[in-house]
Amino acid sequence: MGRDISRSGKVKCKTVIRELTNYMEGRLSEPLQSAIEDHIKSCRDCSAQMETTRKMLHLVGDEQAWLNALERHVLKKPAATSEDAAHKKEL
Amino acid sequence: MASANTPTICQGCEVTVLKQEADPFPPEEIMTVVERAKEGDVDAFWRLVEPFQQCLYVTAYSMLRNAGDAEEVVQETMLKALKHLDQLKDGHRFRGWLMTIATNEARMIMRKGMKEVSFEDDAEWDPKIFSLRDYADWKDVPSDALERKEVWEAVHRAMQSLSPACREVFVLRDVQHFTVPEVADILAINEDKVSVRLHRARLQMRDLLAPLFREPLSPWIPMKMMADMSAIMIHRLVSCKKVLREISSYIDGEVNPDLRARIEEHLKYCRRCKLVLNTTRKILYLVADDKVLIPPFAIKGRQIPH
Ligand SMILES: [Zn+2]
Repeated sequence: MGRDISRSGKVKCKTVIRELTNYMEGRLSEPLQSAIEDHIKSCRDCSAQMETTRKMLHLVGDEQAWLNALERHVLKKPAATSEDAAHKKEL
Repeated sequence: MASANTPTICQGCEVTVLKQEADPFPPEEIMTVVERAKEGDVDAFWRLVEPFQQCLYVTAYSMLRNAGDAEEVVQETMLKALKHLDQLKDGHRFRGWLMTIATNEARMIMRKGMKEVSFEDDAEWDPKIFSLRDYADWKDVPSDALERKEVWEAVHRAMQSLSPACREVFVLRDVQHFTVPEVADILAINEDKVSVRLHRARLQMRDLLAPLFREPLSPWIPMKMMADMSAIMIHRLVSCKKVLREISSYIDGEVNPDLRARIEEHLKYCRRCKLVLNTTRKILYLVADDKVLIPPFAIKGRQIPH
């Protein structure tokens, strides 16, 4: 991990992208976690990498939205309804 | 591997899903209910698992993308949970424990469908695909966009393109919001492996879904407006041609009340005619026709449409 950080405490974009998930999950140990935080603050590309990942996660991460979408796209399908209802009753 | 100190019931699920149906038991009560269920109180067991049905279904469906298979996973999970209840040692782990059973069931169905499904191989992935690009113009897509068919389809196509190993990690972490240690526990793999797969899954999902975030989605006409639209259709919407022909009479307040109402209705929905109307008004002021030079608010006793 030591060689990811330069003597002046900087990291390369390559390292940020490679560690992005670990960084977002707070899994990195210091000083790498802070070095990446600083890098992202000043690098447009890397901050866009993180923001776009966040936007994607926001889209897929809402369980209520999933349930509503399932209702709309899957469970309300005419062909599946009666069968699904029967299954539900069995449960 | 055991994570007794990490709460297994996720915040998101508790708030958004469980409130809809039965309230889940607090973790400390779960073991008491489990004891009752073990003694043959099946009713207690159903009350225990019922709140988790929906999140099990979401998990199974997002892994398999098939309603019948997802139902099967939920049912099998319930039955196996009942059968193996004595293996549950920690009430805090209950949701994760159910999820382990569900994941195994989903894997079995996936294996049936394909000759060889690997949940171990982390090799075939080329990080070069995800080079730096300009992502600056990405817009927000709200999660209720999932209700739109094209978004739903795109998300599922993207998820199906993940390797099964990456997909299950992604669903557990980013859809169900288990923590990385919890996912490791559920899948019985180490946390680093979870993180590696999660990283691939996220970048791959993001890049595959890029078109949703970059291209303008077709306008999402709210239901209310759709209803208004059909009401207007029935009431014989006045045509653009007619509006344009009558526009100066309209500005001068010289059209009859019926036509005026219909033109106004039209202008609510037709941006083009509205634009023409506004431009015409401006031009009329500019050409200094003394009839319209007086600002409308100064005119008393004469109705000026705005
Ligand atoms: Zn950078």
